[in-house]
Amino acid sequence: MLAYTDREVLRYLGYGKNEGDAPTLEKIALCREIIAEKASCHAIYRQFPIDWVEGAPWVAPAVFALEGQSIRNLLKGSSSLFLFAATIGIQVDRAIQYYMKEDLALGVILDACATAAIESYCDVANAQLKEELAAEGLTCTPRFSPGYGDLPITLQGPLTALLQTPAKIGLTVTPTSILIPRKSVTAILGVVPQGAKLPEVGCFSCNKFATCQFRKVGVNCGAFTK
Amino acid sequence: MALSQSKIYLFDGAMGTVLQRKGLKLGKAPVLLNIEEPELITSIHKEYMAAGCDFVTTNTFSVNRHKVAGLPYTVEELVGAGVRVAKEAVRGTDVQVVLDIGPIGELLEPLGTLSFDEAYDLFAEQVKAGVAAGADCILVETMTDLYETKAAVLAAKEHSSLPVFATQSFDANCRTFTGCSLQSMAVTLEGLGVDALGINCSLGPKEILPMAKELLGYTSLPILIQPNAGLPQMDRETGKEHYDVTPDAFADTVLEMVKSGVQLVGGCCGTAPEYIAAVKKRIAGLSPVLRQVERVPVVCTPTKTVVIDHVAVVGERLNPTGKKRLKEALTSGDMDTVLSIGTAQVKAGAEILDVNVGLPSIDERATMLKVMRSLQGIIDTPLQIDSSHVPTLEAALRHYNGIPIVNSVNGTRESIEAVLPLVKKYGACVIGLALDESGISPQAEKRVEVAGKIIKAATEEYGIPKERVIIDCLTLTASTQQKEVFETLKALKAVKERYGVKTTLGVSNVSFGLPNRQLLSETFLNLALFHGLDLPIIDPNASGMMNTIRAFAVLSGRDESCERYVAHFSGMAAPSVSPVAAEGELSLQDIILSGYKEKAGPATAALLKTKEPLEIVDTQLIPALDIVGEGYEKGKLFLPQLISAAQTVQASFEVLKAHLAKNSAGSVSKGTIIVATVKGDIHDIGKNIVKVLLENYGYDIIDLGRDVDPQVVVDAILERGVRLVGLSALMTTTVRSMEETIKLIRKEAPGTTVMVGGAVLTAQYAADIGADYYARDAKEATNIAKKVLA
Repeated sequence: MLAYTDREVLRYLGYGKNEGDAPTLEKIALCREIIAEKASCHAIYRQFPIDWVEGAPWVAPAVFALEGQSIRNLLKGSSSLFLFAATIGIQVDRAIQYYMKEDLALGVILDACATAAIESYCDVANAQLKEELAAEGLTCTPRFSPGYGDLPITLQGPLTALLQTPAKIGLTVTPTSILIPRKSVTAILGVVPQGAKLPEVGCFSCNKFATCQFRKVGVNCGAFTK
Repeated sequence: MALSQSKIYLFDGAMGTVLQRKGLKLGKAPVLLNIEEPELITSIHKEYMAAGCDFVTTNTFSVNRHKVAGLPYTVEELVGAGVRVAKEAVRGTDVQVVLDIGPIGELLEPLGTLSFDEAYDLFAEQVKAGVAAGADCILVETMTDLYETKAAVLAAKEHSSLPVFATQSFDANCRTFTGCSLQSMAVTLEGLGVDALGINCSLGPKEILPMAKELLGYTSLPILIQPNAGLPQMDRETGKEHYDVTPDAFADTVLEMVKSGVQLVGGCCGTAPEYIAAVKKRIAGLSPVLRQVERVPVVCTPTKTVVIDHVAVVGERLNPTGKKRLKEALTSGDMDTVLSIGTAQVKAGAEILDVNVGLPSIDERATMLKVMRSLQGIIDTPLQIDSSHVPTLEAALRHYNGIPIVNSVNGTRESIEAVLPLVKKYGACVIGLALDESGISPQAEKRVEVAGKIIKAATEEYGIPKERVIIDCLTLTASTQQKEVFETLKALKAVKERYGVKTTLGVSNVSFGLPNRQLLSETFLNLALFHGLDLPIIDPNASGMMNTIRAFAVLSGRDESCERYVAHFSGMAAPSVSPVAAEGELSLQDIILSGYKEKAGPATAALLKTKEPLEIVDTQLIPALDIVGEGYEKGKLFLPQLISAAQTVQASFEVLKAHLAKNSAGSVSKGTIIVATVKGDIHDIGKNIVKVLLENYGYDIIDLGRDVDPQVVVDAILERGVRLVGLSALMTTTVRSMEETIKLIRKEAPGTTVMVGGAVLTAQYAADIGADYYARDAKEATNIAKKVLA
């Protein structure tokens, strides 16, 4: 289920397009085993109509507004959306904490593997969603998370509350809007007719655009379509 | 009210499901209805009563201060109203009102940021409101974190005298989302003195049935099961969930649970009055099944239980007596050293870790809590809290996650009266030392008597189950009390035979003051095992001791078919030739560049024969680091390689430091730097990398960890006279807390230099929040340190 490549892990480790060195590749292999043992994957999504109020999309009926230009761009062709949340579980956090004390290099690589793992899990879950939508002639936009672009990170609280993620998938959020388990994703996906032009979710919409370490080495973090 | 042993009790079903059915608006907090539409809630309670339930559960799930922050009412008003509408519904009947308490929605420390005490306060507020409004009992439910459940149960018991029930929600793998097992939950909650415990939510009755049966074997308490009506199916169009189990099918499986011994049943998500009515029909006239539960001694954390039915090693190394490095670590708050001692023991085979932080100059209570929290954050091995300081014991018992062992109580009245009430309240295991007012008796028989006195006090006076008492007959030192060595063994055997309790001994005491201590300790361990020792407190890194235990397990027939013995020793074939050795003699620099951590120590030791420590730093370590650093900056080497090299340098530094300490010849330290991830943030990878790199360049680092309160940073600066602080924050939301930390530093420790780092920061942003330096990466942090501490 967690099909992520070494390439992706290396990218999170800042290798850009460079090849991995043998010791690092060996450690990635070990970390894959750790993740396979520790990960407990859960996802939840729920569909809501969109109400456009003064040009801003609301999760309908009147639940909360989605603020910012970037989410407007994402949803402009959609009449409904999915709120989505996924996690690979708290035991992965514990393992990362353990290995960071035990062997920092391994801990850092494990963290990168876990990031690759949750992204790949989200991809699988989203692909499944697309399959279901296809039966109705629909598809969905790329996922867009709180904190991307100008979509406030503080949306994590209301979004997880609405999806009841603590009870349903064990995903909680701190008052500072950090998701715990750490390797978790929440996102919004717009529903559009198949064949419609999908909005592009580019690096430029990210609030880390200016300082991004991935861009510096000619790749991206994988969260965006371009 | 107390639960009767002769009655099957029926709880109600879901509130949310029925509300949705009645058209509750999405996004509206159901709890508001307690005040705004009380008749609606009363009518739902009445529907459940008509279906035949004995308990109605208040509409107060997760009504805590954090959750209701945006609502126009207080917790007291919302919970009070919830209880009152339920009471209104049950007026004139025997139906009981259960105050419902659900999870807070934030994860507790150490993996989350909510502190145990804060969680407790949130729950206490709900309990007080519910009790004031007249609830008949309290239900803590849908919990997934045993630590949070403990906080809620303590809040319930300390602010009411009502019966307390607690249930957790389990996944298909028989664990909660945080990894808590059925057994850990059962023994921990039983220890805390709940009136019933069990499973609710997450799954349907069929999936829960085998778990319920398993749970029945772990506790003699009544079991409460409230399944969902199967698994949720979402109608994507309407966003509504419906469940796939019919009332009849639901009731059939619940009946099977009751026939297996479950005494309290009800429903959770997806169940409605017709489900409860169907169950009522099936259980009418049934009496609870009489259960025989074998009581076994267990210590645990949420994710790991150790049943003491075999020789289980208790690691003794986390005790500062005679250990300079640990003393320093405890004094300076360096948790990394503590953790590495802990993890090494676990790797070596310890199943329980003794933790003693008693030092004359230290706040023992605070240090114990800090050490315990750090250990419980990364390892799941149960702990043995070793302290004679009662406030430390109490705080540790309160904040421990699971069931620990208390080390120890003794036979004096004073000790019994101080320690045993705590053991009872928090449900711990306890070691009874076979000594009393007259000290340690030289005669075995007297020690056996004292042991008996402690067991009697524990079980009869305080109601502590006997299996939770462990007796230590006390090892005496052969060099000074040679005649009494065998008395310990005699006492050990007699205690086991007479009282049927588990036993422990600090084994290596026997060899103090004599040469070849190992031989004496191993021999004594051998004898003690033969006399019935269950929990040897030893250094698990001593392979001779561990092998003695392995051999005993074979010879006593406990290691069936010698499986574990064979597995252990066949895995230890002749050591293979190290790949490094084949490459000939490598210089220390080459070793660092290749990241051969294991080679760094020996190579450094070899160099020390001809070179001074500082010379090694300047001619070997620093140049190697510079090469690695340059390679990293140029994009030829990458993060894992940088860190591997840094860890290798670290290993070399350890040898240099030990050498200097031994020769009392000053230090290689270039100054001390504090690093911390700010309050509210838990991202610590960046901080950890900065730390190891700074250490490489010869700085001593005080690592305050993550989610660090501004005051803690300031206190550390002032206490240690530190001039440079590195702060890390990764979120736009936590940069604010970084700013607050800097403000407090400016106010209370002016003159301190602050460097900051983290993904969302820029040089400009750093300047705006008042930092002196912005470190865009770990290498840059070392440059700043060089400049500031030059």
